[in-house]
This record gives sequence, C-alpha cells and structure tokens, in this order.
Amino acid sequence: MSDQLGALTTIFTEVYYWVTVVFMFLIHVGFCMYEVGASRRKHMMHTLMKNTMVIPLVTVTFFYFGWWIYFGWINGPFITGGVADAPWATPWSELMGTHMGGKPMSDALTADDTMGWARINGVFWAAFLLFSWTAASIVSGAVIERIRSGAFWLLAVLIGSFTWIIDAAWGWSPDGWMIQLLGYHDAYASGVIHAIAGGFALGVLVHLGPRIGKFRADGTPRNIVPHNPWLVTIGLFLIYTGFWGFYVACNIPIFDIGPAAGMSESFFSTTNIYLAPTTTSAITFNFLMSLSGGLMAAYLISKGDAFWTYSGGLAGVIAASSGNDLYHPIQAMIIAAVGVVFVYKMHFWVERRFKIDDVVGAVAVHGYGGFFGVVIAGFVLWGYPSSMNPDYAAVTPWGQFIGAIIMFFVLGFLPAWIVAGILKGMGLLRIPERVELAGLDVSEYHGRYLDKAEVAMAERKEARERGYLKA
Amino acid sequence: MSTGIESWNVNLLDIGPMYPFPGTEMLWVIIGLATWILWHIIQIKMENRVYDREDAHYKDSAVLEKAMVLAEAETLVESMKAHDPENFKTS
Repeated sequence: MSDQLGALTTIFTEVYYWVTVVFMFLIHVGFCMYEVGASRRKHMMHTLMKNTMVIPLVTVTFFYFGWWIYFGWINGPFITGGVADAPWATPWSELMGTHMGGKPMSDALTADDTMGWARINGVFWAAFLLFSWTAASIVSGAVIERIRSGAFWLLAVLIGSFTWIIDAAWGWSPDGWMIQLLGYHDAYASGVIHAIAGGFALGVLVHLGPRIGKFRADGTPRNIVPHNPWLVTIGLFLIYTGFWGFYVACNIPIFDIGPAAGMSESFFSTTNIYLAPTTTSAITFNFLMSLSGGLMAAYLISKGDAFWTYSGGLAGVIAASSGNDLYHPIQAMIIAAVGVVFVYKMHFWVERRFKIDDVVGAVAVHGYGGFFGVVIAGFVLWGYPSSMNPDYAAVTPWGQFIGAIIMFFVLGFLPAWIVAGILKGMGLLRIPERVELAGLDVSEYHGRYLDKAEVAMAERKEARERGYLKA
Repeated sequence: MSTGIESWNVNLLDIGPMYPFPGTEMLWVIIGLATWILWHIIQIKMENRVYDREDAHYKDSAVLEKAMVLAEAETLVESMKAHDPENFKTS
C-alpha cells in the first residue's frame, strides 16, 4: 500500500463493497416488513422473529464454511477438477480477520494473497453474505404462519450457507464449471439467487402444506388477506432499494481486463462477476427499465392489484437479471414484462393444481421469474462469450436451460424437499394445529394480546377504585 | 505481556494479522462451530417445550375458542371484550 494509485483503487473497492452491503441490508428490512404485513395479526411477531434470526445464523455459518465453498468448489468438485485451494477463505485463515496485508504467518498463504485479500476479504465476504440472507429470506415469506422457527432456521442455513453458495461457485464465478462447460451466464443472479430460492421454497411447501383454511372444500383457494397491505408495499419498496445495492455488488468496480483480452496495455473497466466488461451505467439503465416493464405488465394483468403490481416490479427485474449487464434497456423492459405474465399465470395455476400455499408468491416471483430469466438470456445472448477465457463455452439456449434446471431443481427444490421431509418425519416441521388456529402470538405464554387487554382492564379497575370512573 | 501487537512504530509493510492471540484461529473456529450447533439444539428443545405446553393448553375447546376470538380482535376494545367480557361490561 505504498503506491498511491494502487492504494486508491484497493481502498475504493473496499469502500464500494461496504456501501453495497449497507444498501443490501434494506432487502432484509423490506422482507421483514413484507412478511409481517402479509401475515395475520395473530402471527406477526413470530413471523418477524423467524426472519430476523436468519441474520445471525446465516452469518456465522457463512463465516464457518460458506465462504470457503465459493472458492473451493468451483470445479464441482470432480467435474472439471478437484477441490480448489482457497487459503484466504478457510475460517481459520489469518485473512478472515483484521490484517494489514504484510508477511503471512501461514505457509499456505503467499505475499500476493495477503496483499490482495487483507482489505477486500471482509467486504467481499459480506457482499456474498447479504445474498445468503436474501436467499433464506425469500424462502421465509412462502412458509409463514405455520412453520416451526427451529425447522426454518436449519433450512435457512442449508440454503444460505450451503446450497446457494455451491451454485455461486459453479455458475457465478469466473472459472466455475458451469461457465466452462455450459457457457452459463447469470450476471445479476436470476438463477443463482432467485431460481434456487424459489425452487427451495417449493420443496419446503410440498411437505409443509397449506395454512388451515386456505382451500375450500372444492379445492379452490381462499384469499387470506394481509393484515397490513401498506406495510407489504413499503417492504417491497425497500426490497427494490436494496436490489440496487445488490446489482452493484455483483460487479467488480475497477479491474484491468486488458491482459485477459489479449491487449498489450491495461484497460480498466467495471466488470461483472465473470470479470467480463460491463458498466454501472448499463446496469442502471436496465434495472430501471426492467423494473418499469415488470410494473406495467403486472398492473395490467392483475387489473391494478397492488400486491401483484409491486411483486411484478420485482419479478420484472429478476426476469431480466441474467443478461442485464448486456441487454439494451428496451430489451430488458420487454423481457421483464413477458416474464411477469409468465410468473403471474404460473403462480395461480400451481396454486390451484397442486394446492401450494405460497403466501407471498415467492416461488412464482423468484423461482419462476428466475428460471425464465436464465432461459431467455440463452436466446437473447446466444453466442456471447461467457467469460474472458476464449476456451470456455459460449452462451447458448441449451446451456442456460440446463443451468436453470440445476438452479431451480437440483440445488433448490431437491435439497429442500429432502431435508424438509426429514424434519417432517421427526415432527419438527409444522406447528401444532391448535397453536396455528389460536395464533402464534396469542397464547397463554406469549400473550402479547392478552397482556395488552389485561393491562387495559387493570387500568379501568384501578380507575374505578380511585373514583375516576363509575363503579 | 502482550496478546498481539506491541508497537505501531515498525515497518507497517511487515504487519500481518492484527487480532489478539494470532495462531489460535483453529481453536476459535471449533468454539464457534460448537456454539452454533449447541444453539440449534437448545432452541429446538425450547420451542418443542413451548408448543407441547400450548397445545395441551388449547385442548380445552373453550380456551381455544377464546384465543381465536382474541386473535381475530382488530382493536384493543375488542381484545378487552374477548379477554374479560364480564368486567368489560361494567367499565
């Protein structure tokens, strides 16, 4: 750090990721508000705590093993190679702590490792960690009002610190095997975060079952109304805001791509996660245009329903996210609009056909929207290089389709279906029916409502005794 | 006695880890992992106890009925009525 320009670049990058992390925190705030608003009053504090505790549990486990998986499992392992060395990311690495970048103590680390990672490791880890929270939080909304918190938190660790980061190693790193062999391209995580989380939620919902009263005797669904629609919409606004941070967190702000392009001189650019060129300006165009396409289509197809219009804005961005580093803004808008129609139709078809009670539409917005986004990028970006390495496969419709299957079903649905099935078999998945009926917040032991009523009644009693009210 | 850094008046390019007790990282990881697993065990046992107790409580259908009325109350007045209908009338 004795060269001023090098120090400026390094410390700018460090602060850049830190800012994205703060923005992305709003995603979690938004999801909490959304879920609390969507739940009924009798369940709302339980719903809040269920999602809040994702933060510490996924954070500590992402420190213990998630971060290492991202670097260590890029080859599968055993698809394009073995377990890769990542001595800066093991939880016992000196670089997983305060470090000045000087001579390493450990023989496993080189001087280059310490210089490069000492200042970036924590903020880069945190940027990925916030994606981990998001993955778990997407699942959280689908299962509210009847899942046991303990079961959900185990499932949250499974997706937040294990399965999603495997898919990131495979399909969201410059040398992941899916990039090498399939030409997989998913710049802003349509599949890597959204499809996997939607598939995971579906895997849990199959075992969890619907809320009591959700379906009529003839199998048609009832609309269980959110207790606070205003909170739902503000939550979604905050998710949009955090999503901006998510987008820039998916980029590397300053990187010399000249050598990788075969140039004799340096060429500094912002890159996507694959170290291929894009610009922050491009993704700003495309984020806003895909948000707009999603909102406009959702408004029309839902006939102005606020819940689905807001969700449609989110689904629109998700549907365009795979290729939003490269699309033209109007392409992004149209892809978003078409994706939202697909998401909306699929949600109600699956709900009626399979009796899936997805409270916040998470499987649809994130799962089907993400799946659609990955697949459509295969057609629109057909033939584009998937990375700077000319030996890796190019983007194709079939590569993207296989990628979408891996994200939604293999790493999303399947692990959730297996683990949720085990938890169900142990009687740990769903709350007792009588407690569900009474309400998770309304009980003899956690009687917030009872306490409130009791205090109000006690005040009246004392007011009468003091002569302020008639006896 | 020093747990780590003893002076900043050195060549800063030589400074690596700055946290106390460098070299003990593996021990902290083991403690951290054990704490995480233990937390889940304690939490699940705690949650099971609460639900078992609540479920038993609601086996009395009158108690469950009262809880459901209370759960559906939109206002404090409705909650008070549900909680103590007799005394509410006199207030």
